[in-house]
Amino acid sequence: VNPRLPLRRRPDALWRRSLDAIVILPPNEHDTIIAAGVAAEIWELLTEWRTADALVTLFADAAAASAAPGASTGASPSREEIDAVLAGFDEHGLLDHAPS
Amino acid sequence: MSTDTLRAIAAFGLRTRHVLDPTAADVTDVTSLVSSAEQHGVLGQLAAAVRAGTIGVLGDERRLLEEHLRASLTRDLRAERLLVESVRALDRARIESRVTGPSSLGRTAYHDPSYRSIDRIDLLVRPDDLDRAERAVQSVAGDDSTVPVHVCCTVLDGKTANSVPVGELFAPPYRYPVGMWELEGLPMPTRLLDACARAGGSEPPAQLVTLRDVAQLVRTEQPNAVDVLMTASSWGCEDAVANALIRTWDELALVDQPPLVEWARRHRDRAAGGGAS
Repeated sequence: VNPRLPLRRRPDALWRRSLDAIVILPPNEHDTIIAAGVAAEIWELLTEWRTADALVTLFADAAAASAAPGASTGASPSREEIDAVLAGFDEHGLLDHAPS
Repeated sequence: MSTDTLRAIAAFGLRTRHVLDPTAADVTDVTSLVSSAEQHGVLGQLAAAVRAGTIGVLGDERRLLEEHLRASLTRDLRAERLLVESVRALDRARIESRVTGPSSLGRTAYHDPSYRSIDRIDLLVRPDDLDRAERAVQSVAGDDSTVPVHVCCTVLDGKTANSVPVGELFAPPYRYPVGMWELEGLPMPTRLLDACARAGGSEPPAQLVTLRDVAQLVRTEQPNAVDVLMTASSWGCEDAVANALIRTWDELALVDQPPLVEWARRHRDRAAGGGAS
């Protein structure tokens, strides 16, 4: 996935929230996939066009904002984790890619 | 599983006199709780209670609940896709339709469709289109047994159904989004009368979620009471509507008493007294 190319979740991918995850039915598949943890957060964020770079920044900013005063910043997903989630979504045809 | 516990789950998130006691024996028996909630279509409300921390479910029991939720939501997603494909097949055949019942309620009465399972798909068409509509839907549903797909020409049951003018059912629709598509459901007050017919049709109600549907519609859509009563009167279903409203408010022990519910109680009292309504 090109880190500078905006992505969003495909609007024809139907999905629901469970207790701990998001259940997604990819457009051309019979089985659902499960997005938990960071993947669920990324799915929610991809309601808008965002680049992988923007997601990395967004998570880092959120971790910094939620860290206790005086402490080092909280945990945020690594670049590799975010890329892996996006690649997983893309593999199931769940992403729209903005024209470059 | 006590009836009160199940009713408290069905009413979760509404202003209710039911209290969910997290220490009660039937609440701590999570296997039975999940099974009963699933049977009554209120697994989403149970999940909401757990998410809110009202019921503490941890470890293996939380995994069990999550597993059931994922299975249930997967069925709902497949059903919703089948619904969209069915409506598109009707559109291609130039057959006007309306989505009714549970398959429309998750998107039109609840703030999140995860709270309303889809146990059947109901599509309303005009009587002249019925045969063609059934063939069009069959062409996409095939042997898909995710949920039954019903194509019908009215919204109520029994002899009352015959008093519903088809033209009124095809009044300008309530349009709502499903993914990238826009579906057409029943507008108010027809949608509420349809929900009341499903909630008041059997004694006791087949599923508590049908009562929750009525409460959701009254709360979120705030239907005009005069419109509801005039339509119910002209369709001859005032008794059924009053029964469904009273049953919903009594069984879910709802605190707020909107004008429609006050009307329902007066209507019942007058009917019991033998007076005209």
